[in-house]
Amino acid sequence: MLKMRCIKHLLSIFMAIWMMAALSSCSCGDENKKTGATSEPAATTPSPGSMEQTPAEIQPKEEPGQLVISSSADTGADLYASWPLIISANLWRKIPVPDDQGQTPGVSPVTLKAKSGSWREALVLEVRNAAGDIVAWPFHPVNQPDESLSLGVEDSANAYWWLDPSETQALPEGKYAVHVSFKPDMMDGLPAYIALDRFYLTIEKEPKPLDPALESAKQYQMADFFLFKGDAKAAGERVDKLLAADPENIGGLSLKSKLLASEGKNLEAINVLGDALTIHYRKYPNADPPLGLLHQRSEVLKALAPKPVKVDGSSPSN
Amino acid sequence: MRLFLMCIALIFSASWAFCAAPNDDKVTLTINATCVADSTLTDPHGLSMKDKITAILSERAVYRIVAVEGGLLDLELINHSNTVKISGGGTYKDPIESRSWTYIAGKPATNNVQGGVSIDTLHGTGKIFIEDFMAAIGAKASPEDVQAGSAYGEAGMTFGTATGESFPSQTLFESNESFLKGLYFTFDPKSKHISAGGQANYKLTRKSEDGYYIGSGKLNVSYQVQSGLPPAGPMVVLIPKGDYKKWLPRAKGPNTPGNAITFGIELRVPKGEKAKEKTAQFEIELLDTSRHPGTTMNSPWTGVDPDLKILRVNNPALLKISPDGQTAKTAKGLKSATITVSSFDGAAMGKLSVLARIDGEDTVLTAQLDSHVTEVSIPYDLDGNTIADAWEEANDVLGKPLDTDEDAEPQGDRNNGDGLTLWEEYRGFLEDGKYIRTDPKKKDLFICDLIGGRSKKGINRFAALTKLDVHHSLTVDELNYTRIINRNRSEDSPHVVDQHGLLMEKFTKDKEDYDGWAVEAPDARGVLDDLGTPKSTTRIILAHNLSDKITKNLGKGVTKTYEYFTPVVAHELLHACNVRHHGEVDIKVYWKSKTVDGKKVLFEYERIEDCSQPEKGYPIKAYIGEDSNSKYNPEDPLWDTPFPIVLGVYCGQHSGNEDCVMRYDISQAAFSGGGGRFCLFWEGQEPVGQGLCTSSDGTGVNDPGRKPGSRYYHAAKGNCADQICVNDLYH
Repeated sequence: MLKMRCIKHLLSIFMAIWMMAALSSCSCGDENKKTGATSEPAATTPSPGSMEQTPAEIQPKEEPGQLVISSSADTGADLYASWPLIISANLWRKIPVPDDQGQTPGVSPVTLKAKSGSWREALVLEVRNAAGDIVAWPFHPVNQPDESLSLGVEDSANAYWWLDPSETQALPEGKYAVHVSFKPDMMDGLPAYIALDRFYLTIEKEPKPLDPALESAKQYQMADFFLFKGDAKAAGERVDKLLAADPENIGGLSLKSKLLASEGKNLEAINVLGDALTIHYRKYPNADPPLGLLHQRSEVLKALAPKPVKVDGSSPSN
Repeated sequence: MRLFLMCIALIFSASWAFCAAPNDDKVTLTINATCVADSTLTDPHGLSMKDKITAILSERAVYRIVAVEGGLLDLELINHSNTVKISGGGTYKDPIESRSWTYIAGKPATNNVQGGVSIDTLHGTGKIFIEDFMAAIGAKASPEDVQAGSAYGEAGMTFGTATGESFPSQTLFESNESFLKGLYFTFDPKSKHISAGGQANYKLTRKSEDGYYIGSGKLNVSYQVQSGLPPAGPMVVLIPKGDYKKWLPRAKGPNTPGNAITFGIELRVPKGEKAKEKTAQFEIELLDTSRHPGTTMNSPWTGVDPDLKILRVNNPALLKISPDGQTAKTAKGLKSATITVSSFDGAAMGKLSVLARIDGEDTVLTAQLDSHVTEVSIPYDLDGNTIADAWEEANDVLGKPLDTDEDAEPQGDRNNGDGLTLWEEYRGFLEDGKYIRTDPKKKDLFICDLIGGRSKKGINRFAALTKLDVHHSLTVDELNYTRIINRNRSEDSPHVVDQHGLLMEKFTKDKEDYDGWAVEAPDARGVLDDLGTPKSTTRIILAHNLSDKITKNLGKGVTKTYEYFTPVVAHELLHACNVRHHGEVDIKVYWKSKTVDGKKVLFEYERIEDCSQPEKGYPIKAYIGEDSNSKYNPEDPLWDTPFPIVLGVYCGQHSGNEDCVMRYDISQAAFSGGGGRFCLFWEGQEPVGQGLCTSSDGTGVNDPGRKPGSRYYHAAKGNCADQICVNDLYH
């Protein structure tokens, strides 16, 4: 009786938070009061140690500005056999993370040098099938003569390999894991640890017959592939074929513009890109601007800077 | 309103004794405890009150030792005697009246047993317990019509604070750690007798904010414990091989364990018995094993097999293992064995129990762990909340509800959490087949990146700018067509919201959409909704033909080379985390020359269809960069065909901080006033942002104080860092 009166009294007086704390403490106390024998834990406990088993996948600690090799299929993660395949490896460095004091460690450029030949020759492209077995595909590396590579945090470098459509036609269907690494004994200056990003490539049989959209996509990829290999003539044939069947194919128009610019036909190249932009705006009115097309046009415009005139109409040189 | 000032003092003293006549099966516990509380209240209106109460407990209790399990004594109370004396009183005075009172016991002074004890003979430790004996007896004020009782209430509060074991984590009152330690005692486990004792003291002081009320309380307990040697029989002890309390379950595949934990099993015989004469067959059982769907929150497989199993491969010596891996038997005639339990789920939880059938006898003994529980929790989970205590302690979340989602970093738009509950972050995820747990204090974002290569550098930039924990190596199966990253759950799994991951891909085979887009997801009505958190972005498509770097002519002979693909990746990912453009009002126009009075004049048109309409369009001057003294020649053949232009405007996509990745950099023209356009194709190109802005202020070309003028001024939106939200519960 008195206790009830007391609690009512306190409630009327104390701040709410104070009372809540008091009630909380009483509740905790009640829960923990026991009489007689219980299975209460002992006051002393075994000394701690480490039982978390070390997983095999734990990677070494990364350094500030960690060097990474990220691989990819420039022709897409899904490939139809008999379509061209381009694999790339992108070498780059991670942005240093500030420490607990908020200080970002400075990172110097790292210089990688091949013991002989190009640094790209020291790269190994490895493909594994779903069973984890390494498979041998007849890749063609794109060789460039540079012996060494200097990479700062804002830099990156690429290496490429390709397979012709006739070569991909022979590849078994399935899912493959692809990654690129260095042969350490062929390089100087390699850090102790290089992070590797692998990617998965799925190979399927080409559907037959191809629907018009896929036919356009194939022609586009073939044209892009020939352009990648430096065969402008074959690329041009594919582009013409593509645009004949699909005149509003934006990718096709972009390639057409590239081919025209490579021939010095800059004004025509600009006009083709103008068409591509117009089509893009019409097809995707709410999309972000087509950065690729706009910058492609900027590059062509550099070679086509029209001569200025003074506001009064005279030439500035006059 | 009248203010009360109260002062409470509470002194609580007790003494315990734990006694047992040597060589019998009894335990005797003697306790003496005193609790004193007082309070004073004085307010400026002339009110004053003083109150004080004292309670003294004297108790003797005798227990019979019924059994010993794993060293723990099972005690039965066989008799006790106690007295509780209540005394004290108080006065009350205000300008009108004054009263006084005294306290007496509310019930007969002898009552139920108020103390208790647990004893661990294996380790030589024990602990006493004490009830709130003042509350058990109660107190009466005489006369009854006075406003007494504040000291009595304070006594209860002091008692609860002193004995509340979860209370030390709070900071409102004095720590009771020392008091609780005082309730523990030790003795030599090899001794034939137990004779131990101790004391525990606690003091509470309180004061109201206005200073009118002051209270204090004291609780003093002293005790003695005495016992003879407890009877003991054979028992089984589980001995962890490694640090059981730190072990956490891990996951991998549906048929591949993530990790395992091993225990030794030992048959221990009482002192004095010949160990060689006792052997046993051990029967091992996993109880209450969890069966969460899948092995992690996002594993591609969703089966509900037991999450802990006894596998033959890890237990070659076992005689028999059940097909579901939940029970096993050893051979007979063993004094010891080992058992390895494998984990198939990041949140695997179960109990390990072992029976020993002593050969030649019918005795069945329940196995014990050193920590004195009859069933061993795997992993160690003293609070029984299904999350391993080691993870809770390491992440400072012990005691929090399982559906808590309070990740605070990065702050972003101030919505805490990342859509993943504490339990979901503990259970973990698969990322390219590797098991990961996530940080419950840091917001996570999951990405299935089908582009790879240089997109990784962009993701790294995004992570550095946002400070999110980005997990970007999910496979298609791990992300799943639903993109729900915490989809593997049962109805009672702690869950707040279906949290989505992101899909990044190149142009698809049947489309030529090869520019940077964050594609909106249809809402529940099938309507394309505005961009928001990851649930709103079906996929992110990135151009394959964007260059890694780009060189810009910034004007006045200054050129600068920027990373390009990298900030584009960051830009699109930020869209999927609720970050908008700096503005949305830039416009697309067409420029084309038209002959007027026999002279070519450059015209601007709103639509391409208008370019061929004589009455449409309006004449403009296209200045070179931002130099309004020279312009481009309308006679140039460049303007003979419609030329699409992105015209940046004030507070549009190009406004705000020029070094932000969310700001556009592709404007080809800007208003110069008087029908003129600053033409930025060749001169005065837009810089490319690499950072993330923290305000909407215009900087660089948009600086309001810039000459010849701010190009696009402050951002309509801006402050991109404060827009970041990954939690699908919001937006």
